[in-house]
Amino acid sequence: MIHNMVQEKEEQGRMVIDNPSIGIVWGTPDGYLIDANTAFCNLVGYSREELDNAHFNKFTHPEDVPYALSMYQKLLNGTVNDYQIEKRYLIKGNSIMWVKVNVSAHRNSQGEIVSVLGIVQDISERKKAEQLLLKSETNLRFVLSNSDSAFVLLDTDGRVVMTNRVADQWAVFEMDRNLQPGELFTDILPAIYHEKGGAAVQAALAGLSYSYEDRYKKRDGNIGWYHVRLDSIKDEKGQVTGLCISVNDTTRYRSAQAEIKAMNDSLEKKVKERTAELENANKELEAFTYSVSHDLMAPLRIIDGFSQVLLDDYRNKLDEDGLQTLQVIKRNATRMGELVNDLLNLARLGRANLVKRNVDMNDVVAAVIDEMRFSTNKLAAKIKLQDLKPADCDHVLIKQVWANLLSNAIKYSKYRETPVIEIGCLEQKGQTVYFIKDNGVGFDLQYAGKLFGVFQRLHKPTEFPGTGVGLAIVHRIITRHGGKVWADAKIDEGAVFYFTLP
Amino acid sequence: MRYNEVEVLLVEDNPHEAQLALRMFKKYNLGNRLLHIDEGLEALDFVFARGKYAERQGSTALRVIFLDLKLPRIDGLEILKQIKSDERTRTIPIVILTSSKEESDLAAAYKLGANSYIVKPVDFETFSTTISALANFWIYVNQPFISIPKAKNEP
Repeated sequence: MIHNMVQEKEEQGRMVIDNPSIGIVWGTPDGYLIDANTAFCNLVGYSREELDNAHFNKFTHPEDVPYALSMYQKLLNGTVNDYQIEKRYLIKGNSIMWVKVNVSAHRNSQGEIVSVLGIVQDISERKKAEQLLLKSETNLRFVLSNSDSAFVLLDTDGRVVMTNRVADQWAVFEMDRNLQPGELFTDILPAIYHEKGGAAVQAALAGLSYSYEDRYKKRDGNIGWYHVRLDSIKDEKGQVTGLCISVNDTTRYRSAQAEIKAMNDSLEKKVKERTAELENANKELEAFTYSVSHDLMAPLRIIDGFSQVLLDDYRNKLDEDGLQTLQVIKRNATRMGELVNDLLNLARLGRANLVKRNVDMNDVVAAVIDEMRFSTNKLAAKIKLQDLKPADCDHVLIKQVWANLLSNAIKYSKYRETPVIEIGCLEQKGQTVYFIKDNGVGFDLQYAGKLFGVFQRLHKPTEFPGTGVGLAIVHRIITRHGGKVWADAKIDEGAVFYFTLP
Repeated sequence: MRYNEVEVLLVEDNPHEAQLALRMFKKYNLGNRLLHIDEGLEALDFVFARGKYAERQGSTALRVIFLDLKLPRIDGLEILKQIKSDERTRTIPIVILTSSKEESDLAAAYKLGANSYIVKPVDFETFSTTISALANFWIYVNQPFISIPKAKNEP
């Protein structure tokens, strides 16, 4: 029986010694190694032969030696009979391993140390995790302390767990003292904030994100604004373990916003005033143009009329030169009449009200072509018509635009053997661009700037008659619609006119 | 000229324009049927047979009035309004003869009851054919219905 028990104990001891993850080592009181198990040999990376008679300092990291020795000293002088130490081992190949060592002394009956037992465990993994945790905590603290927002972490009982610098200064709530971990948040928060804050805390405890903006009274009596956000902190199981409260002072943002709004308002007002002034000036100018051209008509009629009277009633009293002179007078009166008439039309357009509706451009262009055919008897040009998108515009005015552009195209391509005019539309930057293209004489793009001016002409009146108002009218109508008109051309290669309507 | 034989009244302040129109009428042998008045109040006196035109009372000859819009003192639209708003004269055809193509003028003239609105062409030949066509139409073609202006003490 006794024999059995002894045998059993021995076996149990062997099992401990043979355990692969616990290093066991025996040494002399002065620190020389007597024996070690396989696990220890594996741990430090030396064979049993290499370890024979080695001193423990062989393993301990030089920086940890003083601390390890001071602990060992306590064992030697009998202050303690065992101790635990976490230190670094230098294992074979000079790599470092964190270990936990249980050191105990085996004493004889006189109390003298006979041998020392060390039980060694590799704790590298734990140390690594600890270091990572420390690092991430350091990072977190850095971010928190450098944030402009105030952060307060609370546990589920509403006690302060952690705060950052801004929260400590507590600019937002203008509290008189810092927050201390463990304090009940409601004890520190002034009562006026309890109602809103309480609701927010309840929501966040229920796992929701919650935010609101409110006013607060500053110490100096002024009103400030703050924005609060509450988020619940959850563990891996989704259980709420605490709250994160972040608070931003939005007073400056608010006042900047108000300033921007005030500036925008005043700018808008100014623009409106200027626009009204400009519109007035335009109207006055147009009224002036109108009345001037109106008053010019009567004298012109009279010049023309009386010249005709001379031609009719005094023909036999005038010689050839006299008759021709009268013709010149009449021609010029007629010409000036046309100019004034066009000017009148232009002025009228500027003052007429726009009546916008959805207009089928195909119908408009077809009507314009019809009228053109009717008035010119035969239309030599071949007109290629594409399908045109409808537009929101003034029906009468847009018809005038197409009429002017078409008569222009016909006029400047009339010397071609086969005049070809193309009318269509295309999409450009999400906008419909209408165009009319001819294969006429074109013009030098250098003078494109003059194209839409009143009385501006790029050709001699003997080649192509006209007053130079047609395109000015087109320009006026399109710009009054808020659209754009432009042209592309090359001498002798025709011209394309484009326009958009918003 | 005997006022109660006047068939066409021309109200025009510019003497030269009037002179040209007169020439046209003469050319078509209508000269003795036309009276030119260069001023609004007098034109109204004529139409309502007042003052120096009192002898017109009972006349039914007037076929048409050619009325300019721009006139000193009482302008054409006011004359139009007075004639067209009076029971006795509202059936007299009035043709507006003007340089103005302004839409507001056009709209006002038609609203007040103008029978026609002609924009005077610059070109004399066009003008003369226009005038002769107008005179022909209103004197010979158009069937008038003209009530007799009776004596009236107040205007």
